[in-house]
Amino acid sequence: MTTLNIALVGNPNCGKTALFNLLTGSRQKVANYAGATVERKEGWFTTPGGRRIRLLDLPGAYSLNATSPDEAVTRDVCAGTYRGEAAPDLLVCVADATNLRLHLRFVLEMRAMGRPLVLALNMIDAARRNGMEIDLPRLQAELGMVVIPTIGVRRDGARELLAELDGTPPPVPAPLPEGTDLHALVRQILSDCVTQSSPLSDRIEERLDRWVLHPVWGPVILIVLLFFMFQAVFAWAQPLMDAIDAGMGMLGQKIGTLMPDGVLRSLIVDGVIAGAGSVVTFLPQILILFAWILVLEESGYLPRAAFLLDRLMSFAGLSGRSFIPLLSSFACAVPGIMSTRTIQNPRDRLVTVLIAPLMTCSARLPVYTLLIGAFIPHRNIAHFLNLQGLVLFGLYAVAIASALVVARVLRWRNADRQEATLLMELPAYRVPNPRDLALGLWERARIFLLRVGTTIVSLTVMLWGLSSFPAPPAGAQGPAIDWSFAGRIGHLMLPVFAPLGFNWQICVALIPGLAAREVAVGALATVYSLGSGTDTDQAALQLGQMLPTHWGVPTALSLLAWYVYAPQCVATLAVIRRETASWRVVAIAAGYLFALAYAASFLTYHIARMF
Amino acid sequence: MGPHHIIQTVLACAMVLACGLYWAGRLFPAASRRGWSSMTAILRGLHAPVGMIHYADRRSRPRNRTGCGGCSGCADRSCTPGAGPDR
Repeated sequence: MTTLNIALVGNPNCGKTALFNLLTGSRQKVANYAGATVERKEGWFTTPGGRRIRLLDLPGAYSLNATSPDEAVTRDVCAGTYRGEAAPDLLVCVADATNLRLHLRFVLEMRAMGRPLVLALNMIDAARRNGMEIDLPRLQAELGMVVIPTIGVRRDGARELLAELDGTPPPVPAPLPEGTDLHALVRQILSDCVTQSSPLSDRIEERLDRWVLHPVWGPVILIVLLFFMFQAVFAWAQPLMDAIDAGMGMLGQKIGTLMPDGVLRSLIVDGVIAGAGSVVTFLPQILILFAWILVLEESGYLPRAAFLLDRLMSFAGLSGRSFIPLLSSFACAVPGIMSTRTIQNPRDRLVTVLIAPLMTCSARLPVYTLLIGAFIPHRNIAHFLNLQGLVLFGLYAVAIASALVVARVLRWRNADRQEATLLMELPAYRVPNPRDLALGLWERARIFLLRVGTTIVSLTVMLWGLSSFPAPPAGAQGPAIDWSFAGRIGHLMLPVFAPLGFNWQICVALIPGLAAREVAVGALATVYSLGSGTDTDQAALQLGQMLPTHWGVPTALSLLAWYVYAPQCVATLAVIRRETASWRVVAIAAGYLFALAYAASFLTYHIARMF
Repeated sequence: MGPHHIIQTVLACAMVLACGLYWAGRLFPAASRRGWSSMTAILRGLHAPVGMIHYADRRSRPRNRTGCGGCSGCADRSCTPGAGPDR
């Protein structure tokens, strides 16, 4: 039996990716907002009847007249003009059953393409709960295509769709008469096929939106939510972090006592365990941060936050549409920059790409929490505000404010400035699905641990090599690391970074940070562990307690300021090159971020020294 | 220097070298592929186990990368560099 090529198409946020994950067993990102998918995704599965299917998940589109790069991908794949991709044998048009007024228009547009087409009426359970009754046979007759109810988030939600795929291929629907008014036709179909009792959920949503989108209370709710998010990162994670820290300490001690003294023991204890182990400690904080973000994503709150921030964004010369890419950049700038494809205006898109690296990615979190934990007292303000959480919130706020100022400057320089109106679909509120949350968190933990096991371990091993060789000459004074390659590189960099209060150890830590920012923590642990002279010293694992004995507060604050702007991330620069197809933009991004980081660190260090 | 010191030094150097090769492969994939191609030829000449030859051969061929330089933040294993939108 030949393989069937199928493409999932539909309006944004109708559940295409959920259906894709259900059918193929993938774990592609799903979220309750438009624009979560910006590239075509490919998956394979076999139907119960034994037919092999190649399934494409395409970015959501409101129309085949593409207005943004992600919509162009959908249009081109459906039309068979996408480079290296044959036209699909069958289009499965996914429509949100709770929002047929909007989604049926696109279904009719797809029908006009003259390709075999099936309509998957997704979220049919939610529609029934909302009091909607859909006459499926009649809808099928009026649309002139097979209509199949699906539930993308339920294990057996695609049973009927699979049965359809096993049967004979559906026919090409008859084309609509020339000049058909699609809006009028949708209204006609809805009045014929759908009956709607007054839904309770609509009333609840209206009430919620009255508060959430209120010009005064809306921003207050947003600030409170973000504020508690950062408080939680410190308050909830500590017991787990202490447990991991203690576990790593015990492991280092055990290996230290089991292995005979030598180079390999130093590599494992000072390199791998001290370096990578100190990064693993931050896993609970990263997961707590992502748990909050996932809940906000799934609940449908994020597009409302984008709507609230539209005015603030317009001050910076951007539209609220830039909000979601910027928010994605809090996880990592790479997917954030990729999701700028949903922005129609090329200038807005470029500015968003340039400011996305300023959003505080999760790789900075270990550096922040290490320095805050080491130098900011653990005490409460006004009995309930954790000072450390407050400082973390401040760092995120400074980064956001800087991004808006940079965007304003970039837009101000832009002569062909035009006002863009934000037109955005607000999805229905949903109670986050615990299974999706658990899967999302598991995926984050897996990615983080994979990164530790590959990128971070390999870098700390290499750094250990650079910090251990060559050995000092006979009769040399001072720590052996001073004679090593790393020591020499650090001293070579020192004249550039000394005005910022950095010592040579920090300079060394900045280099592997180019590959992954959080490696700076592991690198500091390795360098100080080797520098301490006793390779089984457990202080190597308590980096947070060791740092205040080596640095002053101005140096710590200066390094924090450096990391707010930290330009060094090769992956970010690579994706900027890929998305803009311009080395010039890469040079501008790297240059301005370095200049900002240097200036901010310099000022912070010298101002802090006055007190 | 005792034998365990020599073994430890050899193993430590091998680990550092392996990590160096891993990063060389990530930073310079084309050069790395040529290296793996030569390695495949050498292994064939030495009549090495088939698994080793297959492994080296697989590494010598271009493969679908995440296209983003390896951040892994997006967990997106299907975004090949050629799959982006036309510009």
